[in-house]
Order: sequence, then structure tokens, then C-alpha cells
Amino acid sequence: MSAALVPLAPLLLVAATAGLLIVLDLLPPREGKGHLGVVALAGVVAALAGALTLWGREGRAFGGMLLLDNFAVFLDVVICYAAALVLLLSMDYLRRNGMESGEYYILVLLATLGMMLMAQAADLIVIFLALELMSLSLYVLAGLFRGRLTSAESSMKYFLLGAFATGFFVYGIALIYGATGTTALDRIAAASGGLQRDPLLLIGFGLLLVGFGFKISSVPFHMWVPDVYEGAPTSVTALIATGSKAAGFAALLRVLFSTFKVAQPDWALLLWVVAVLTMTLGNVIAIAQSNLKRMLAYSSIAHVGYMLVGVVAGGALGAGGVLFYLLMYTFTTVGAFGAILLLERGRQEAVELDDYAGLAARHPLLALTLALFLLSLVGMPPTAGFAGKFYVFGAAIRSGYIWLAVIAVLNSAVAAYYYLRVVVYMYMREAEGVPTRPAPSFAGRLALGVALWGVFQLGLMPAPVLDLAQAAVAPLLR
Amino acid sequence: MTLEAAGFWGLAPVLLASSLAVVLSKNLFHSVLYLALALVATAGVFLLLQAEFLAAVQVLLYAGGVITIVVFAIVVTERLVGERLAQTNRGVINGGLISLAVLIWIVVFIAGAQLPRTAPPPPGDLTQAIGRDLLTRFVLPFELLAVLFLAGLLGALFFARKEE
Repeated sequence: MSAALVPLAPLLLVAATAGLLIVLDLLPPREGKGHLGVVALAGVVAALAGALTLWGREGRAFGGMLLLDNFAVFLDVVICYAAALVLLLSMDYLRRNGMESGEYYILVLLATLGMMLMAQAADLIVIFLALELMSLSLYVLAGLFRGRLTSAESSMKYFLLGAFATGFFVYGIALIYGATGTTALDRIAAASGGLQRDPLLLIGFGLLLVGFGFKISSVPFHMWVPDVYEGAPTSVTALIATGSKAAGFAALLRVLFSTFKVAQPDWALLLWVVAVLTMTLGNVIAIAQSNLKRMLAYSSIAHVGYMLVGVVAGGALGAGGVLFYLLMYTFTTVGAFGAILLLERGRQEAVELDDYAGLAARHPLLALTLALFLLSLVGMPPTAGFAGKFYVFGAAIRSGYIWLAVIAVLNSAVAAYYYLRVVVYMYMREAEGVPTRPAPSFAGRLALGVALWGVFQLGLMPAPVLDLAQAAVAPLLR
Repeated sequence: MTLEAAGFWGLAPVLLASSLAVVLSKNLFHSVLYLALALVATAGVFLLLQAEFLAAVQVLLYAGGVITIVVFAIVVTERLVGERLAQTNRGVINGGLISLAVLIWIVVFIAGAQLPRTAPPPPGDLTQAIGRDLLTRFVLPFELLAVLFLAGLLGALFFARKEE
């Protein structure tokens, strides 16, 4: 392969697989599209392996618009894990719901491509286009179950609010271009040193943060989350909760730490407030939810709050902690949504709390798996959730944000209530009515197995991965 | 008064009046026609500023494409809903206040900016320069747009397809 293409290898693999799928979709067999899922999975796994071999290499392409550094590689890996697990979960799930279609797999790949581009972009124009590629694909995927009103609502809400957020984002880019005369991240950094109090630049930066806030679903731009997560097909919900969040944080961290480094005291103060609001609101409202997908939606808002604690803390510890958290959150959340996706009651998905009563008695293994994912979300040792919270909150204390860490720990205690309630239902309640049954799906179980491996790998031996995460943020901090 | 200034003062009232008519007209269809007029007038302003390419894009994309889509949307929605759609302006006072605030902000901003007294020299053939940049410096965004459209196309096909 030509040296210039090396930084692009993971991206090209995903894009080429998407192209291949478009052709394969037209060819027989016309019944069943499961084989497309296998091809898509192969492409993502190849991209994952490709990204891993690129660790330690640096490169730029397209006149500096795309770059490859350890930061990009780490996030490519997180995103590929999310996409691969979601693809594994999707195969039987789509068939069960009678919505198997070639477009699904193509759009998942295109969304993944957009996410990876966000991690590798070094120019605001590319970040914007990557963001749109990801979002547009996800808008369609959210509406996959065309016959269901909730799915249509989810897609429509996501699209309308997302398009609105995009407007803010583009306006921000335009103002930043007006102030600095460039859209390249490093040149904006160079130009903004002398323009610190330029209102044009500040407003542009603020609008950019609004756009990012929407994509990572931080308060006050979180309103879309519960309805979209609840209505979208569960496999798509898992992708929105993990991959799109990782991509949003990828671009946000790069912009904050390397481009707007001069303004760090200012944005740290702003994000301090946002972090507190985000985790508190997410946790408090999650308590009142009886629908598991909705509960996990609010819980995902709370987790964004915890990650923002790491962003506020800054430095290799804080930013590295956020990357570690993203990886652990990906495994845990895909696992939790995956367990929900496998369960059905009657002909319906089991999403209500009552559906989980007495599950442990009849399906002990699956109940245990779901319980472990929920414990990881709580942050119990020895799961990955504990290590993630420990690093992020520890970084906040190290940087002198004692109160922020205290609020975050108190929030985690509140959160334990609604996660453990599900465990209580599974283990201590009697089942009533039609029994909840897991669907027979080998691919789904494999996905849960991989996610569980991730949760314990990161929980029992977090140090090596944390070292990698800290090495990954080094290019941003120099 | 130069020809350019005469052109501007001829276009400005048309642009302002048609823009106001877009938001104030009760009839949704009339609003769209006024919008088309406003967009063409904007293209005229671009022409006066010697941005021929921008003017052409404005006419093709907005006056041509977007207006067509909006007309289709109105016609189809009216048929589905079964009644004539009217534009209601409940927030006219708040909207007016916000517009006024933005106007004041822009005027203050322009008044404070240091603008050159004389017009900069014409930059040569802009269309050629844009074309060259699009396929060299900006080739990645250009190609990404193609992928983005592919995603949009797939989505549209998926939703438009008949249920099996």
C-alpha cells in the first residue's frame, strides 16, 4: 500500500465494505440478508485490526485535513468495537422483527465511517461532514421499524433536533472562520492565541460547543435522548449510545485540548457547571423510569456528566480517563442493551421493569450477565465501571476540583438505586403472566460474551489500558 | 451615484419587502412565491458584488431546487390534510423583538468594524478558482459530500419502498 494511504487504512476498509454491501444487496439470495451482516462484521473487524497495527504511527493526508495519531487510533478502536458488537446483536434481532434489509447494514457502516472520520479529522469542515454522515445514517436507522409509531417518532425527533443542532454547529464554524481565516484546527489554535477576547471567535466557539453538546447529549441539549433511545430499534439505540458518543467526544476533546488550549480556564469553568447539571438531571429522572430503555437513556446522560468531569480535570489523567471511560462505557452499555434486545415477552420486546421479575429463576445465566453489566454501570469493583469512575474522579481531585468529585460520587450513589432495582426485580420478585424468554441467538450471545470479557478485562487489569489511553491523549496535550 | 449603488438601492427595497411578505403573508403559497423573489433579489446583490458564481448557485439551488421542494411539500400536505394551510403568526411580537435585537447587533458590529474606504480589486475569474480549489485543497470534503449523499439516498429509498 502506498505510504500516503496508510493513515486512511481503517477508514478505507469500512468505506470499501459499505460499497461492497451495496452491490451484494442487489445479488441473490433475496430472502434473508444475514450474510450481509457477516460481511459488514468482517469489514469492521478488519478495520479494528488495521487500526490496532497503526498504534504509534503518525501521519497526515489530504493536505492535513485528516490525521492519524494515537488519539485517533484509540477512538477508532472504541468505535469499531461498538460497531462490531452492534452488528453481532443485529443479525437475529432484525430477522425476529421482520425488518431485515440490506440498507440497515450499509447505513451502520456509513455511520461507523462518519464516527471514525470524526476521530481522525483535523479540519472543522471534515468534522462537520463526518458528523453529518454519522447523524444522517443514524436518523434513518432510528426509524427502521417503519410500522411502529414510536420508531417513526424517534427518527423524526432525532432528525429535527439534530438538524437544528447542525445549524448551530455550522454557524459556529462560519464565525470561527471569520475570526481566524481558516478551518484547520492547528491554524485556528495558532491564530486564536492573539485573539482571545475577540467576540466573533468566542461566539463561534460557543456555538460549536452547543453542537457538540447535542451530539454527546449533555444538559441542556439532552431533550431528544429518552424518546429517541426508547423508540429506535434496540441495536440502533446501542450504537447511538456508544459509537456516536465516542465520536462526539473524540472531536470535542481534540477541539478543546489542542485548538482552544488558550481558553482552558474559561471552558473548564463552563463545563464544570454542565457536568454537574448533566449527571444530576440524568440520575434524578432515571429513578422515575419503569421502561428499561428509557432508564438507560437517562443513565447515559448521567454518564456523559461523569465523562465531562474528566474533561474538566484535564491533563493526561483527566483526558486519558475520559478515553478509558468511553471504552468501558461502550462494552458495558452495548452489553446492557444487548441483554434487553435478546429478551422478549409474548411477541413484544421485554422493556418494562415488570418483564424482568423472576428472570433469574428461569434464565440464571442471562440474568447474571445483565446484572453484571448493570453493576458495571453502577461502578462496583471489580467491573470496568469502577475503574472508569475511579480514574475520572481521581483526576478531578488531583486537579483540585474536590467539590466536583464529591458531587459525582454522590450522584453515583443515587444511580445505584435504579440500576440495582432491576437486579432486585430479577432475583427477588416472582414472575407473573406470560414468561419472558431469551431469543435463541448465537451471534447475540457471542456479543454479550465479548462485552462481558471487556467489562472484566478493563475491571481486573485496568492499568495497561489506562497507560494506552494516556499515551493516546499525549498528542493533544503537547 | 455609480451604477452599482443605483443597482443596490433598486434591489434593496424589493429584497426587504419580499422578505417581510414571506413571514407576514397568511397564504402559505404566496409566502413561497415571495421567498423565491427574495432569493432572486439576493442573487442580484451577489452579482453587484461581482460574485457571479455565488449568484448562479443561489438561483440554481435556492430559487430552483429549494423552492420546488417547498411547493411540492405544501401541495402534498394540503392534499393529505384535506384543508388549505394558513400561516399563523402567534409569536409576531417576540419574533419582531428578537429580529430587532439581531439588527441592532449587526449594525453596531458593522459600525465598529474598520472597513476599507475603497472596494478591493476584482479577484479575477472566481469560478475557475473555486473549481480548482474544490478538486485540490478541498477534495476530501468534496468526496465526503458524495458519501453523505449516498447515505441520504439510501435512507430515502428505504422509507419510500413499499412494505412487503
